[in-house]
Amino acid sequence: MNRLENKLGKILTFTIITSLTFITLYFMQCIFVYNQYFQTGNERVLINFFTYLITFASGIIFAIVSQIFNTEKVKVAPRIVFIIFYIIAELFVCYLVRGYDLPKVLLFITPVQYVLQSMLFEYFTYHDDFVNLWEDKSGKQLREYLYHNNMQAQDLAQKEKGVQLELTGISIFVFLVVLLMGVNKYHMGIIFVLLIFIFYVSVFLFFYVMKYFEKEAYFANIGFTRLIDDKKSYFKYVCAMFIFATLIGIVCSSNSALIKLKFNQTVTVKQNDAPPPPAPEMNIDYLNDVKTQLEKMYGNQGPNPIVELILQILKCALIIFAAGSVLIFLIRPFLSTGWKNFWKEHKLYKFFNKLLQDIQELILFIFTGKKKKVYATVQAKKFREVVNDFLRKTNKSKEKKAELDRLTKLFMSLINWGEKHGIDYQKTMAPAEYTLLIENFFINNKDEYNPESIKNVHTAGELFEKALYDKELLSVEEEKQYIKAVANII
Amino acid sequence: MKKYTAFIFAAICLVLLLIIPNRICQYICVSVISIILLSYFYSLILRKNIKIERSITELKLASREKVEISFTIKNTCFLPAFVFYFFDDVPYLYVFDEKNSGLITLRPYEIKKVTYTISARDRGKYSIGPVKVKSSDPLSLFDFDLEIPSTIDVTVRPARIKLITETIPGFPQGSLKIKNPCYEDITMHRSIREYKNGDEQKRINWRASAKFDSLFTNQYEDSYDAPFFVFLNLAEDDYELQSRLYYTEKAIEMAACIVERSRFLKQRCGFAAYGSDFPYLKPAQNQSDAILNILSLIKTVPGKLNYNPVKKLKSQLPVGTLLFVIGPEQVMSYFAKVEKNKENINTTNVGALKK
Repeated sequence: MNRLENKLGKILTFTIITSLTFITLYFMQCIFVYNQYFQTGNERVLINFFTYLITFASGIIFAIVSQIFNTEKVKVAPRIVFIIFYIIAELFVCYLVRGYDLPKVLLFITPVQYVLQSMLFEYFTYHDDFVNLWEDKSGKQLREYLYHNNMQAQDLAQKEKGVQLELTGISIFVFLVVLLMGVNKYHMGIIFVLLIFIFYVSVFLFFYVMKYFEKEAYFANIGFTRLIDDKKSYFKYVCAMFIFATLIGIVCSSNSALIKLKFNQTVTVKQNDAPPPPAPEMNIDYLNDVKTQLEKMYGNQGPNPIVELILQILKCALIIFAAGSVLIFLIRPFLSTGWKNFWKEHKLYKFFNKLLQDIQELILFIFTGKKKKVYATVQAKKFREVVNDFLRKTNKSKEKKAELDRLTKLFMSLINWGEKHGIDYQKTMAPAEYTLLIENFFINNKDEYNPESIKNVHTAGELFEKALYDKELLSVEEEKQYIKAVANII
Repeated sequence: MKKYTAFIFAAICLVLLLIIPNRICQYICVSVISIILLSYFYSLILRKNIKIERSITELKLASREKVEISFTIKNTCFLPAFVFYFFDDVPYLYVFDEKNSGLITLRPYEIKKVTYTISARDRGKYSIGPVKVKSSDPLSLFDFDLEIPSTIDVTVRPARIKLITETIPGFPQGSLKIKNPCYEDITMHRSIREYKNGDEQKRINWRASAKFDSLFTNQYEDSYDAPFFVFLNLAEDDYELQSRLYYTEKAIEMAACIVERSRFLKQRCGFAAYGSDFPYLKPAQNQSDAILNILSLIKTVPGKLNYNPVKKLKSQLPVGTLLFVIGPEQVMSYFAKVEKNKENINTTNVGALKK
């Protein structure tokens, strides 16, 4: 099955999280630059071009690593180990490039970026597992299978709720960032605005992908596998709605609020006339007196050397134990069977191969055109209205009307056939005009249709017009000829 | 997303739009509101322009017979319905390949014809429809379900069985042909023949005779009518308990076969039954349909047939009526013949009623 939505979703995950981190970094940069509280002079929290580059590269690495982890069903502990080693490696790279000016902000941004991105990528793994379950089934078999095996569907539904919450949360966060920047009159450059636009477009398309998955799961439970035939057209309509909404947004937005809210703040200043109370006197000698008195009561209670030694040993043991646990925790994933098998079976190479294939497929899908399928439309039915109109305006006998009724039904089936082959009927066309179009169609497609077809079309058009405009009824042979001609064409 | 969630979201965006003096924030709010409104109106327009049409409202078929049902789905607006689910409710009837439901894409102004085959195992009255439809806007913010009340009343008649019904001449001049001059019908001219000694003068065709300069006599068709009358015994106690349902159904099928035969032969047909509602119809023309409708719905009644239907009906029916009594003996006789693998099983009748 074509999993294009899955691929699109993964790309959108990357763009959402990367744009979110860029927006956060820009916001933090604005705070550090404009806010006097943070301008200490000695402390520099570096957010510059290199920080953005590192974040972008982290996004790509996290995307690849998350996919591998999800495919190999890696547990939480190795993921934590990965992020710890990644942060160490990141800081090492920063040290190599920038010297001692380490961007401390990355210590906070990188884990958050990783966690958010992993959570969104996990959703697609759950979806893949769910679809793999029923891909080769359809109809009643699929319905019954999913009725009895609905664990993956439930997991997917739960995960979807989490993802929806996450996306809503980060959308609100970005909105608040923009609001705060606006209120504090921080400078919002074109790139920042573009980042906001990319973020919200990605979130919108992600919601579209989630809704698609939701519908897919719903109809799979009823027994239908193929949701939409023409996905490109569907996507175009979604994009058109978004563009239209965006244009309305551009036109209707401004820098002034329609309802202006005013805040009246009262400040009360208190003057303290009373003199400050005197500072208490500290009697340090009192402590020495207490110590002498205690020695008199209990004797010289000095530290026991054996107890001290035991405590020291325990302290060392605890430190060694803690250090050892951390080391084992960090090293253990590299000693597991899964890790050895991963390299033994060249899974990384296979992963990148598949990734390239997926990208190729997506590009091919976007840039290959599809032949438009023609279909029967409601317009064909208007032919009957045209004939009825004509009969109303002219005085025809009962037998003539009955004959035209019979012939019109057959002509309408001819129009339906024509519409399915791309020969559109217009209300203003005369019957012979339409049959001439069909004749031209046959002439242009000589290889597909036999020459008899042209003759049949011509006969059908001629006889129908004769019946329509002549006062006399068609003879029995003529009517049979007409019926045979239409039947041969259809 | 449920409808009210989308509207609450739109309301929050509207409030924010009114109070926030920032262009980007306002742009985000307006875009969200526009998307929600666009989706809502898309769904509303689509909902109002979906039409379902059926060519028939009534259907009569025999049990275990296959029949095609079709209806047309029309999208009379310029908006496509990308995910369009339809389901034609067909309770108690078997649908081949489950083609009464489907998931399609309806393009702008498209007509789609849906055809599926059904079969009924048991006789009775059923209803097909309404057609349930489910679709939404492209963003699935506003799903809609429609129930279009386009129903077909289906009357399932008793199954057709192979049963030969032979007629016995009732009275002359009718629809059935016979080679017996006793049943000559002077209203049905057949041909002319050469005059033979002894032919009556009034039978001479003078026009032909003048034309060919020789005497020719008219010949007429020999025909007769044999009105049918079927008496069906559905008294429960007359049938054995273990196979009661099967035998009574077979009896109904046999009665239906005879009635259909009478229709084929264009004979008057009457009907009476010891069954639910105790129907009684005197032999009349064009009554077969009504009798078959009764047979579609008739049920057994408790009790025993405690009279001789032949004696009772002899006085009520016209002379020459072919009386068919279908009861447990006739059914058992039928099954006995079937067991023997006989091919041409005949109905038995009491014979034409005579004075």
